[in-house]
This record gives sequence, C-alpha cells and structure tokens, in this order.
Amino acid sequence: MSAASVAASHPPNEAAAVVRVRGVSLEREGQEVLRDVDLSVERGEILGIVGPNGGGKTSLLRLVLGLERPTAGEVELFGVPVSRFREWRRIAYIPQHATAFDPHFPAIVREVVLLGRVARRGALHWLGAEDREAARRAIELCGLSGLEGRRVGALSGGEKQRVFIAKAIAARPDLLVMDEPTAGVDPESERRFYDLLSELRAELGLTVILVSHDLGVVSARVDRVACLNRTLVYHGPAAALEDKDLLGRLYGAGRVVIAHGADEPPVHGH
Amino acid sequence: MADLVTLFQYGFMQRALLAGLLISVVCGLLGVFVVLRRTAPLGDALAHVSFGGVALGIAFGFLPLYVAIVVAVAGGIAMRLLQERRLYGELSLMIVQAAGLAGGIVLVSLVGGLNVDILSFLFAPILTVAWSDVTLIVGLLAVTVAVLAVFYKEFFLVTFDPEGARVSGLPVRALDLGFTVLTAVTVVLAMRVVGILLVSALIVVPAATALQLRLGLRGTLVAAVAIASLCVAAGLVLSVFLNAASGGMIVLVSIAALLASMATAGASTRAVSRGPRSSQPRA
Repeated sequence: MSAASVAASHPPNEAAAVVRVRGVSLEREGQEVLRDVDLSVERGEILGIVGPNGGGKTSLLRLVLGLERPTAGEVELFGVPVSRFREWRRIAYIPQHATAFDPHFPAIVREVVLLGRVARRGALHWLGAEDREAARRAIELCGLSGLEGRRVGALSGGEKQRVFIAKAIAARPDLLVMDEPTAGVDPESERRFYDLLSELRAELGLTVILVSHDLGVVSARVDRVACLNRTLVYHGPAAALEDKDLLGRLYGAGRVVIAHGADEPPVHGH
Repeated sequence: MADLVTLFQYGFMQRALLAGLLISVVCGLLGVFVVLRRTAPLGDALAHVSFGGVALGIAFGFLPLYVAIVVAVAGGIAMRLLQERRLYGELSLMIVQAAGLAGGIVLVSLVGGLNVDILSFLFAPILTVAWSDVTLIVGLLAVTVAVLAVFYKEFFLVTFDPEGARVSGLPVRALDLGFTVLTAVTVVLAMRVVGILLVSALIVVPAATALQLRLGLRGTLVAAVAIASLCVAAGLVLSVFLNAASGGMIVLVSIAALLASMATAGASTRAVSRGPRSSQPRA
C-alpha cells in the first residue's frame, strides 16, 4: 500500500508522523539506557526495532507508550507531545510475553477479542452489536474462525499470538506496538505472523512498530528498521541491513552489551 | 425431607438462608476476580481489619456491621496507598491487618474482654441474622452487584492484560482502588455468614472450584455463584441437623466441593493425556 493511499484514509490534519522521537535520552539509577535517539514512524509503515539485548529496545517502546518519561528529549504521538496525548485508544500494545499468561486463565477467544473493544470504548460503556461485529471481523482477519469458543490457554503459541493481535485490532487502532511478538513461536507461525501483518496493513491502514532481537527475519519482512544499541546505530530501509559492516557496528566487539534480566529475554537461536 | 420443610418454617432459618444465598452471589462474582488477580491475601487481611471495626462498634455502641464496613474500606484504601509507596505488597497488607487486629484487641480488652457479641462475629453468626441485617445486606449487595455488572469487562481487561489496559488509557489505578473497596464491603457482608475468621474462604474457595471447570470467564462467574449458593445452603442445613457451627460447616462443604472438582479435573486431564493427540479440532 502506498503512503499516499494510507494518508488519504485519515483526516488531512493528521499529516504528522505517527511517532516522532527527538533527541531522547534515558537514564535509570545513573545508568545510561538510551542516548540521543531520533526516530520517526510514518503512517502505514511497519518499523522493526532491532538490536542486542540490553540495547534499550523495550525502554524505547515504554517511552513511546508514555509508560516512562525520558531524561531528555521528547516523544510525539500523532503530532502531540506524549505528556499531553490523550487519544490512547488509537494505540494498541502487545507486551513482551503477553502470550505466556496463566494457561488456566478462564477466558475464551471471543471474550478476549471483545476486550479490545473495552479498550476502544474506555470505562463505563456498554458493548453493543457494533462491538461484537468488530470482534467477529478481527477474529476472521486473524484466521481464528472456528476457535471462538476455545479457551485461550489451550491454544498453540501461534494461535495465542493471533488472539492477542485480534484483540488489539478489534480496537481499530491506528498504531499497533508489539514487543518481541515472535519469541517462542515456531518458524511456520512466525511466517504466518508477518503475512498477517502485511494483510492488516493493507486492510486497515495500520501502522506497526515491532521489537525483535531477530535481525535476520525482521529485516526481510518490515519496511524500515531502527537498530538500537543505546544509541540509534541505523534508521532506514530494511534492505540496507545486508550490509555486514553495519551489523558489525551494531553487534560487534568493543560495544558493551549490558544484560537487563527483567527487561530483555535471552537471545534464542532460530 | 419433612424435617427440611419444617426447618425452613422457622424465621431464623429463612433469614439465614436468604442472607446466605444473597451473599453467595457477590462472593462468587468477586471471588473469581480475587483469585485471578491473586489478591486472596487481601480478603483475609481486610477480614482482620474489619475485626477492629466490629470491636469499635461494640465498644461505642454503634451498629458493629456499619462501623466494620467503614473501617474495612478505610483499611483497603490504606493498603493500596502503602503499596503505591513501594512497600512490598504483602508487607502493606500485614501492617494494615495488624493495625486493625491490634486496635480491635485493645478495644475488646478495654470494654471487658470477649463478650458474646464479639464471639458471634468471630464465629458463626448467620443463624442470628436479624431482618435489619438482611436489609443492609440487600442494599449493599445491590450496589456491589451493580458495580460488578458495570465494570465486569474493565476488571476483566485489567486482570487479563494490565499493561495493555494502561496503554489504552483505562483508569487502572481507580479500577484497582474500586476493586479493593468492593472486596472490603464483600468481606464485611460475608462475615455475617461464616464469621471473620473464615470470610476469605467463602470468597475464594467456590471461585477456585468454578475455575476447575475450565469454562470461559462468563461461565466461570455463573458457576462460582451457583457453587457458592449450593455450598452455603448445604452447609447451613447440615449445621442445623448436626447441631454444629454453621460458618465452619459452610466452609468445610465448600472445600469438599473444591477437592471433588479437582479430583474430577485431574481425572479428565489424565484421560486426555492418554488419549489420541489429534482429538482436538483445529481450524
């Protein structure tokens, strides 16, 4: 889908970038997590944020989502500074390990996807036929038809992941943010996941940010890549990632890679 | 059977059963969320705090149940505030619980030791339920069930996906606080059925039993209400026939139901794991 046709489906005053990060630095307890990061995400784009563990990927997401404040610099969402941003229902977030929830949680697929509508409507709104229809559509788009009545905990990893995506898009967000969406998912499900993202972008004009430590797969399936290792090492078309020098700069010797036990998962081979 | 019919011709038994069944509804509904949010210790802590409220009411001659509600709600809010001060979760419960309990013990000693009123709150008071209690229970029950009905989906979202709920702009903090207040009110209501010491069991055990049935959330809520009602009714009847403490009997029946459901669930899980792996339909 071209940028122009995506932009046309939104009001003209929405011309600003979906996300703009300007000169953002973050320190936690005296430790530098991010330094002077500049980044933009355009409408209808799929951006992959990659980098080594402890490179600040999840931290950058948390800043973008307003869950944390930067030490310096600013973040804008849809042209509005994040501190003044109020239209959070335009953003859906699938946290890291979302699919690793308690397998005994008593929730069936239909109920979970409808929760996306609760996020959309906000507190104190009854859900009606329109909401059920949106949930049904999301279930269909994510290839979950036939599983509506199944308990989410009993599904496979790939199916669970699609339930979370269906929940997210049932809210009809403009921006979908995912942290390590393909961790613990088998290669076939991973392939289906990226196919689904492309379909959702074409169908709904969705803008997507996803974080991954798996540079190889990401660079093949997203539009642009941001390589993060405390500073932004690269931000541009995914194709350029075949450049071995860049990979060397990103992961190479001489760089200190700090491990955040709670923040980042260990690297899994694929 | 004739005995059973005769039994329910007594006013005290009618009141006890009515109060018990009404409270089962709210315990079943709230209990599922209490278990899923892993806040079972909160119920127990609030029960201890409400002991302070009961003692306060008895010491100063106010209606103990009303004072207990005010004290339990205040205690619940205090626990939340302490938790937000980055005090470790269990520690904040412990401190407020100890404050309520200690206050209660001091008050009890000041008014001349454990009297019948206090003992009745600690143990099995349901057969002494008066119509004025039933009125209070009905009123608070209506409020609690209405709040749960309205905020059911918000509580569900916050329980299932707290981070996602926060990002989508849901007032997570207000919902958490509201949930604590609801728990406090429910604890005091349930206190009238099984006594302070067993309150959290009546909230948690039927919900845990319902969770064994592997239903969706809506189904689990309905099942929890049904199980709680059955256990309260059965426990009440048994206690009268055996001339045993009703609160303890209700909780023992609930635990028996939980063990039975766990055994059944365990048996069916083993049957599934022995069966063919392809038996589950996939789209």
